[in-house]
Amino acid sequence: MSAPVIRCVGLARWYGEVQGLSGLTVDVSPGVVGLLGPNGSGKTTLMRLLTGLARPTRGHAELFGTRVSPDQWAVFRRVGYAPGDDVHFESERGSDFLALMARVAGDGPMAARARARAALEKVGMEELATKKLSTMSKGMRQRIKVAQALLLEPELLLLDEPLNGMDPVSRRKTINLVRAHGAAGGTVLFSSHILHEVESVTDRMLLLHHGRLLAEGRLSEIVGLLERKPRRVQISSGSRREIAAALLQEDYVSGVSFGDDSQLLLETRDLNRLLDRLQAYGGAGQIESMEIADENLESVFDTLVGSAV
Amino acid sequence: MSFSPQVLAVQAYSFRRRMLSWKALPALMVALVPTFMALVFRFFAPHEQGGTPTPYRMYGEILAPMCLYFVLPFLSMLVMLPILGELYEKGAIAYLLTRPAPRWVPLLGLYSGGLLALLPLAVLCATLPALILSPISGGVELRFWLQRVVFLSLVLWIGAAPYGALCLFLGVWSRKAVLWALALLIGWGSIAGSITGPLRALSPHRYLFGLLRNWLDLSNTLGQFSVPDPDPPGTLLSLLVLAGYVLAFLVLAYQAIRTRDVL
Repeated sequence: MSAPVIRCVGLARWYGEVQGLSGLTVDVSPGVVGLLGPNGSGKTTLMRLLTGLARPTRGHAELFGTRVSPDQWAVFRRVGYAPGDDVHFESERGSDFLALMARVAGDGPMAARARARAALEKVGMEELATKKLSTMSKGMRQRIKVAQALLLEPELLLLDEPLNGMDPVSRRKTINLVRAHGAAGGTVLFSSHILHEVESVTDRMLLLHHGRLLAEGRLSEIVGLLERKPRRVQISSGSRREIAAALLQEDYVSGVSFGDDSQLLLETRDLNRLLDRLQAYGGAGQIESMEIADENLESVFDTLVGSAV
Repeated sequence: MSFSPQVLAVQAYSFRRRMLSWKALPALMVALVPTFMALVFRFFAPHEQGGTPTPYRMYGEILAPMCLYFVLPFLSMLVMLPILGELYEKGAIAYLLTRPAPRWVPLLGLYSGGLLALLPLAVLCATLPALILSPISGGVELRFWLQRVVFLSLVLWIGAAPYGALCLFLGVWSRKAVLWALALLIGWGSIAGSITGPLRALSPHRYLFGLLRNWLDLSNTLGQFSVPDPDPPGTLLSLLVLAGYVLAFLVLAYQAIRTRDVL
């Protein structure tokens, strides 16, 4: 079996008394992986540790089997990194900045220009290439950052909150780029604190909270972690009072509440048994509609984070 | 594998960033201070009275040492300190440090670009006062003026090399780089290097002053900006010591760039 693209072994980073990342052990294989967590959860710290921009307090990280360190710069030929920080090469034009990045990577002047043009085309910015970065909108600079990450056609993309500040069209374009990179066999670590952003690019994810890995895997696997957590089902029924009274007798129903009109919200620790029971009511024509609220990724995250706090 | 094209690419960027933007203005203002003084001297000094130095002496014995004492440290700070410090503060250094190139490549490129940006400032600093003072210098031949202008430019630029490398190191190593730079460039540089005592031998300023004396043909006597050196260094020794400092500070900056976190 080949080595994972990213490997973290007990990776930890403290900023004085503050924990940035706590003993993260994880392997990432090719494909798109979402790195999800609220602000301050350790996403950017992880990105910086993976790129050698910060040193771990404990543990280590590997990219393509190479231990990350300032001296292992050759591995960056295979890595494209878009930092969360703004570009801040204000005096440069978009194309000049990209050409500079390509030249520092070893391209000659002509090759660097060609590479910059190709990267700008990928993010749909070829017509704005001569604009200075200082005069670009936040969304445009975000696209320049993504173009910079794509510049060397790397196998691994590390994108730190790349959709921040992008307009809907740019977001769609970037999401498609990320998906295409994963579909072509590449690896993308895509960080965001917004669930639907991650959901739009992948169903594989790492959930970080307070520097700890809260959950890892596919969305469906993560949902499986909720088996023992309260789940919510919302039904609409003209007989909601009778149904609520009957269900409150069951040990697997932990709560009921009444919503607007005919809505009834049920909370359970055993979703399957509740669904079986509701099926019986449905068969009798007593339930007009039903929605399992907890199938939404947002609620998965909320539940996991809530349990960790 | 040669990294010189990479270094040159960063050097061009560094030069553009320091020279072709409003950021060059503060350094330009500092470089023009001797010009302002020359103007004051030309138009307001009572030349007809005894005791007033001739324009040629004013340039060599007052303006030139003053450039070393005050202009050079501030020019070095204004141009070289932000080169890395600013990139670190804004996190933008991350783009350069995640390229497939050793970290000394951006370091050397940024340093040499900054040093290049200091060259026109040094020339300006030395030339404009001479242009103002030479027309009233009486019998002093133009070639002597030219000689002084060229050598003062050169000493200033050579001086910017160790001080610039020191600023580069401080920009990476310390988040209070300005304070450190002020202390070291003025304290260890200008002051320690011009007064008697054991620190004098270690200060780059002593060797820069050595070059100034040798090349501008200044006397090793007590003057307004000159404390006599009992054992004045020769040109070769001065150049070697200054080159050693450049190397030492660049090595320190490289160590700092390898170990400082980008946060």
